[in-house]
Amino acid sequence: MSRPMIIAPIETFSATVSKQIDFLYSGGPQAISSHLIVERVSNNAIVYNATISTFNLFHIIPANSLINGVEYRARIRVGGANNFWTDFSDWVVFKALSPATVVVTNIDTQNGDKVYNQSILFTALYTQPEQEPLNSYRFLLYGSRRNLIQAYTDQFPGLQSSPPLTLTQQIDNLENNQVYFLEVLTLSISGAKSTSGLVRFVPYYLAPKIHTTIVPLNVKEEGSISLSANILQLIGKVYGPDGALVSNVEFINNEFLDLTRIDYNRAVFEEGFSINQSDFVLKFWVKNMVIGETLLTLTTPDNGSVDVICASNRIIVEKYYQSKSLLARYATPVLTIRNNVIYMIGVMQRHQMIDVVIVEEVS
Amino acid sequence: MFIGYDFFGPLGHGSAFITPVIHDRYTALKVANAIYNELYMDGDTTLALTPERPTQWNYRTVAHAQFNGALEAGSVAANGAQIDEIRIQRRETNGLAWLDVATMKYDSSLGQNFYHFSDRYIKNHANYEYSLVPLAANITGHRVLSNPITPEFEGVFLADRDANYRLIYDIEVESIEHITANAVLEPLNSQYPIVVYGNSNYMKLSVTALFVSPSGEVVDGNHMNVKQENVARAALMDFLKNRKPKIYRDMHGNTKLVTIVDNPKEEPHSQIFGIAKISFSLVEIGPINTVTLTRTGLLQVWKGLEQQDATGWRV
Repeated sequence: MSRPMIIAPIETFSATVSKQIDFLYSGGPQAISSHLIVERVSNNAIVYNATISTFNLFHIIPANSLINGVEYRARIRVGGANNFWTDFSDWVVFKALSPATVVVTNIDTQNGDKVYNQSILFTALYTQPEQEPLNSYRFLLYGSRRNLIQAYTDQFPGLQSSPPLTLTQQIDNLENNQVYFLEVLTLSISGAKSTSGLVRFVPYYLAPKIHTTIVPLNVKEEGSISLSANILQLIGKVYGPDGALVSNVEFINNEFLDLTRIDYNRAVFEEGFSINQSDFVLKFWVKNMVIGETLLTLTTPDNGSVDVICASNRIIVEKYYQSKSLLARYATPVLTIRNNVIYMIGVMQRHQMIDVVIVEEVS
Repeated sequence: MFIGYDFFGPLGHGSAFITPVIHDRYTALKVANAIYNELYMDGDTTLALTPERPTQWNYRTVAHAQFNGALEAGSVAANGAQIDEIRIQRRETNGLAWLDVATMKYDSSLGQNFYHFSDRYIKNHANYEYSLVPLAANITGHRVLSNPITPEFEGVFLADRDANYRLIYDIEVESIEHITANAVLEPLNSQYPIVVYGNSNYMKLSVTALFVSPSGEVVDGNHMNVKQENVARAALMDFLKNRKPKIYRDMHGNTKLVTIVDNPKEEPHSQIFGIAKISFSLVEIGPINTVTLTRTGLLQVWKGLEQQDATGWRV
């Protein structure tokens, strides 16, 4: 005599929603009802026992009939006309579980879903109320049109690790200002699948730039190409009157650095600054110079210096030998120095001799 | 009359009035007591003290600060972040993929700014362009492109990361054999054979050349410096026998990742003492790309400073 068969495995589901149990049945009289029995595995207590009159080959367990986090087994029999009943099917074991939540944690959702690097170690938080351990998870990266770019390899956190778990994935080579979507898929040990959904993010970073030119040259004798470039990273530092480094330097309109402020004493270019020759051309554009003070100082390793000083009506350059023992002085012709006018001050040293000029910039 | 000294110059440069103070280098620049808009310093004194603002970073530029929201004054802008590494990449001008040629761990505290690099893994008469790519805080930066260049050289070169040997006299590059393994099976009951192919696909070639040391010269018409030639040739033979991967390139435009097989031969010259004809066979062992160059030790990527040479590039 034929008997029905429940389609196994029954995927783990949440007891707070109704669940359809599918079964196969053939070879007997027409099915007009199905009788499903669900028992709790731990103590064999019958928790669901109902007959539904239907021609369909499925049986729906209504929501909230079961409890999440509990393991159950189910069997079914099919009823026909004239109080006919088939034998019960085999038992099928399943588990009811609350849905897990997966949340990507290191996207700046307050600021337009930004991430601030080209290479990001993405982290996601996995939580599940019944502490169901995770079997595996994987991250998927999608492009702006939700096209799959890459499915990263499955990762296995280990069965000892119960939620909440932090899931991580390193993703490299993200393009600046491009919209991406990230999805995290998880699979628990009893087969419950969950997803974070498609989470939008935009990498946003400032890429470094080199302003140099590279010059390739053929070297016939060596059968090679030689390349030369002038690469220099030189970052200035601003110090306050007490000699402490100013960490957040403010600029005026992103155009001017105001070193007449009482809290800014000087700006120094030191690490990376080097010129191994005496000849140079130095030009700088300034306004609101403080009369009688030194504007600019070039220092040698043995405490020699070139000082550019703003006198009341001219620019003076003083050149000192070691520890100010010997002095040479050069000056521009006399002029009236006004405030709020940009001046170009130029200093050129050739054959140890200095030319100094001051020119009012025509705006 | 002393050249360069002028008693009545417009700025009072007379040697009678001004003591010439000698400085030979500067290592720091300090600014204060004004509102700064721009600062430019160059080692090239042919630039005049004209009021035009600088437009680009030149080969001898020392500093260029624009105070536009950052205190950067170098040729590298990373918005205040430290540049960690600079890569040189190359491609053929009609190609798409960039190949790493060298990497450098960048250290601004060394105070170096002139970098020089010699690329020896090139094809004769190919058309190349180069680019520099900076990396800061794991962010790949913008690419700086060079003008295209076409290498032109004569002779046969064998090189690895440290050495570069040139063979130029009486070179014979013998026929290049393309090895593709195959077998012809003749079943007894069939009119035609069955041909089976293997996956092998590589080149084998042999080279013969008269080796003269790079500084070698003929003394008295037909005498060489025998001792010098012996030292140079011994170094070449050691290089040929060191079992390491090498880059072979020749004037015909072949550039291959090879290793030496069979027995290299020296055939002493019968008239000129000290020099010898050298012959050896080569087998191609891989494509030339970033992965194989890294694996064969011909290129180092993402490693520490220990192999840095004096100029900063690890080559």
